[in-house]
Amino acid sequence: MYNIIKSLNFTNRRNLAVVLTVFSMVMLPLILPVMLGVSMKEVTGDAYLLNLCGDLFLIWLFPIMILGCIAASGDAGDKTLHYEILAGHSRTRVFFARVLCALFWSVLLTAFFFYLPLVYYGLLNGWNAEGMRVSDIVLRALLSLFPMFRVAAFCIMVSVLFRSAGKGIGFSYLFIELQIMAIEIAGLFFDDMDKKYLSGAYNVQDLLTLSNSRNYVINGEKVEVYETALEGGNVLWTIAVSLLLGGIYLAVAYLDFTKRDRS
Amino acid sequence: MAEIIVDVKNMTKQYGRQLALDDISFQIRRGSIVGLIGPNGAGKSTIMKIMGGLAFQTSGTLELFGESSEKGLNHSRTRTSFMIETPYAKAGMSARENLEKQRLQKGIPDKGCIDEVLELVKLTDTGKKEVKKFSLGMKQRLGIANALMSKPELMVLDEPINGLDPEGIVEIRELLRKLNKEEKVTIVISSHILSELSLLCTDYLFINHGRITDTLTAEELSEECSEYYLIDTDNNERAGAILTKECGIEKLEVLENGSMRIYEGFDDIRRISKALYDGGVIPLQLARNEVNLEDYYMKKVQANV
Repeated sequence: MYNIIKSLNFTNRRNLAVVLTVFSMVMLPLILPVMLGVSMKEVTGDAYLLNLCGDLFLIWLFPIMILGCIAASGDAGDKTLHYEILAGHSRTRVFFARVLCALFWSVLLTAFFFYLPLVYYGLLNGWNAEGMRVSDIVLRALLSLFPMFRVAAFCIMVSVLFRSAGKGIGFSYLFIELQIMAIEIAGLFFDDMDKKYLSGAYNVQDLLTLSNSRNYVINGEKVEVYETALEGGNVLWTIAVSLLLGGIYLAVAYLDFTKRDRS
Repeated sequence: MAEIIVDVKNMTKQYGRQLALDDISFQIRRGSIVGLIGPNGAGKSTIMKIMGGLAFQTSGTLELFGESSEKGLNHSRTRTSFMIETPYAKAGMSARENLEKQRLQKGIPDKGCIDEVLELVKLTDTGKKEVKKFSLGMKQRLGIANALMSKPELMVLDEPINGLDPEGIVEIRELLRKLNKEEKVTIVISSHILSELSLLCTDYLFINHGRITDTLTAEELSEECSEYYLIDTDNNERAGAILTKECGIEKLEVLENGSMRIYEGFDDIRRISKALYDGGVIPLQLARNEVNLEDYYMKKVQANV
């Protein structure tokens, strides 16, 4: 399995789409404040988290889709994937090597570049908001890996079923957009509907949105104090829903990958 | 008797309603070069795909190097190299990068094997040229290089000389012959260029409509491939009568277009020619030929139709 992962990483590093996606992930958090007309010096760590992270994640779905689909099925379109089976690797081993590689590129790597600005903006421009505990922020960031896994697993499944990274990206985008639209429309009819677990993207947004803020006046200065702690239910539900759905997506992909002829 | 390394028993493969393989059985001996011969859609690639694990048989058994369990077959495939249908390669990478990817995937520790196989297939000078800029012949060579890299005991090659220039065909033929003779590599090869197969193969498997219609060794083929005279005249009916009655020719075959093949009387061809002329028949063609693999194949196909 390790040999297959090495070979996949060798290919991914030479893939132009992968290189451009990683480059975009590095550049986007740097460019975004400029595009919003905010001076780079004003972007503190907490400002990045409070004002940008939630919405930025909707853009971040693209790197998850692109990297996940390319790592899982980039070799399916040109059929070089066949060589792994022909070389005597079992289909189960080939599948899990590809899933592990895809999860590394689409979850761990994207999460790294997603949260990296939090660190460098925090170090460069400081941290203003009161009440934000680093341990809570780290917990939220770590927890967001679960819904990211759920989204990545969905994209992997689509690309495996369609046997093409291109089709995987296209159809994953279509399905995710349709899902968000359906949730929004349903929300119009059910006011008290809890949307956050219905979509992986909403789940991440919810984790990165700090709504429990209170305003205090201390020494004549208005201070916004945030309550960053997560409720126990949130943690459990996020993990359970993400693992359950991600597991189902990967199980469907596994069955297709191991049972269907490759022509 | 050489060891049997491929043993297929009662194998059937169905794609939906279409029967691609219909209860086929055959064996391949170690050290042989087996030609799979049949028209497009006969089932040649399906056999190769099942051997490679890309497709699953509907029923029947496959044994490779004496292994028939899933785990055992996967292990046997590490001793085998395949080039099925088109030689797959990453279009945006060079020949060397493509081979490096495969080397990593196969877990071959020696990086030198890449130079070795590039040299063997004469692709050393392609440098950083991307595979998408390769001709079909160059892609075929790359596919063969990939198949050679793991030093296999069995090579399964689907149309390996397709797209090669005449010089390339000779080189690949010599390379395969050398691998077979010196490294004792068993080769299963399919090609539409039957004249090439006849120069290389030790055994032949004829496939049509998913069935093995005939199996033949090279010796048996040479017995079948007898010499003959092709005779075409302005009155073939009368010529036939003269040949049988006056010249005493018994081994005579009348072809569809009316012309004839005689398989005896080669030393007496002057007398035959004179007899025809004296009988008022003007010979239009009188040529010495040989039944080759192509003729044999066509005869078999027509017999099946």
